[in-house]
Amino acid sequence: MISDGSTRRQLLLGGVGAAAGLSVIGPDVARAASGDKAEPKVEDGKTLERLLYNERLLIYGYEHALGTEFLKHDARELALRQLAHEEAHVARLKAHLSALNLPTTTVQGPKRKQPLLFPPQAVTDLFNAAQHEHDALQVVVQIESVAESGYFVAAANFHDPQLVRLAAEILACEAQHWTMLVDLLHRGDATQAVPHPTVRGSMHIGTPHTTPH
Amino acid sequence: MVGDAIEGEPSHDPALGGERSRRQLLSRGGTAALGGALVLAGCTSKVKTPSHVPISPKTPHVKQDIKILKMLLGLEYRSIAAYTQCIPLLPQPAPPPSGGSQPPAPSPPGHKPPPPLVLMVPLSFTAAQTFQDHELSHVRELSGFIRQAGGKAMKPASFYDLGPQPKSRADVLKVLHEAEQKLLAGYLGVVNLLTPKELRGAAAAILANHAQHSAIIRLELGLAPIPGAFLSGPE
Repeated sequence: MISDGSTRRQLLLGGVGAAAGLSVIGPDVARAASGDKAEPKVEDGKTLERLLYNERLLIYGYEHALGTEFLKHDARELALRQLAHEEAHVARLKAHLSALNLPTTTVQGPKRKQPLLFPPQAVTDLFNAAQHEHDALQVVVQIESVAESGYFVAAANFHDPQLVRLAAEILACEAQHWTMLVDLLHRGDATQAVPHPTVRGSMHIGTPHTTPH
Repeated sequence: MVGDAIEGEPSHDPALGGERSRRQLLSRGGTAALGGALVLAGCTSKVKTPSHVPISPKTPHVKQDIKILKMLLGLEYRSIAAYTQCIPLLPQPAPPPSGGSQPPAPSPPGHKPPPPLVLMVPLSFTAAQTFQDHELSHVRELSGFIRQAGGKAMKPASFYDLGPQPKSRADVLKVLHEAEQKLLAGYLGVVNLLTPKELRGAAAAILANHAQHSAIIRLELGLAPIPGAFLSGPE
């Protein structure tokens, strides 16, 4: 059960999730903030690739939540609408990435010894543990937080002004998604659905400490 | 006077929490504009210099950044005036049936699952106050950036033209919606013009908060809460 959305978010932002042994999603997002000195176009391409990873995770999350058949009525309709937005984001990000005309190896970087697991184990575990509508929605809320974090970092790090604006636009959209989901979970309590004056997201996904299992 | 509740709406309990009472007193002490100005004057005295954005009088293009930040500050002040005018006209939230805003606890395995969740958004007095508090926080942040850049953060105007006096709940929501739309357009138009990248991130983070406010208000107005996948897209 969600007892306090803002507290949960604050804890996640503060890295408590990681400290508790929870999985870290999108480690490359953190790397983006460190600012390696590659060519601006290449950096933008890498950032787009990271955002696409997060978007694919969102699509997986919505599709999986819908597939559980836990979602009823309003939750189902909301998930379907927001899923369509994520698909539109993917299309736009792909178009920008393609326009950069960068070799795939440049954007994706050197091959990893262990390829990035998709979906991450933390997400799979949460869905496996979900028993009801609100459990499934909570997983999607957490993935939305990860996406917010990615776009927040991207809005600062993109070199191309068009991409800065795009990141800000999609950050706003993901923030609205988060708000609608939390509003649903909290039965119309707008103070829970918009808990903070800024939206920076979270890089962590873990077992929601507010849900007893 | 704006402090009067809209006919047919539940009245407000003046004996609620301290912060609420303070703001109620301020907003009921005269015109909406005066009440708003008093609230705003109070908030500008608490400005702290932010440390996470590396902007200084020597930052390249700092004059342009200050100009942009002042424009955004003006929009935030206007929005605070709108909330100050409208908050007293919004209803108190109905007491929760049970368990406050908490979602139901999951049933133990084998029991009947909880009823389906239903989307409800009563934009209550309390919620609007929370949104106004967010705007005050934005004012503090923007004012801090301006000072850090070597500029002088202006004070709020003594009067904001917010249109005709709202007469219905829908009017109130329209005033708030318009204020949030202006903020969205303002931030979106300049987010990629700011020079330090951390300042762009800060602006995007505030923009996203206004988008959240807008979604709630739109839902209450009976509009699509999220008009599209992109903020600037067609409604």
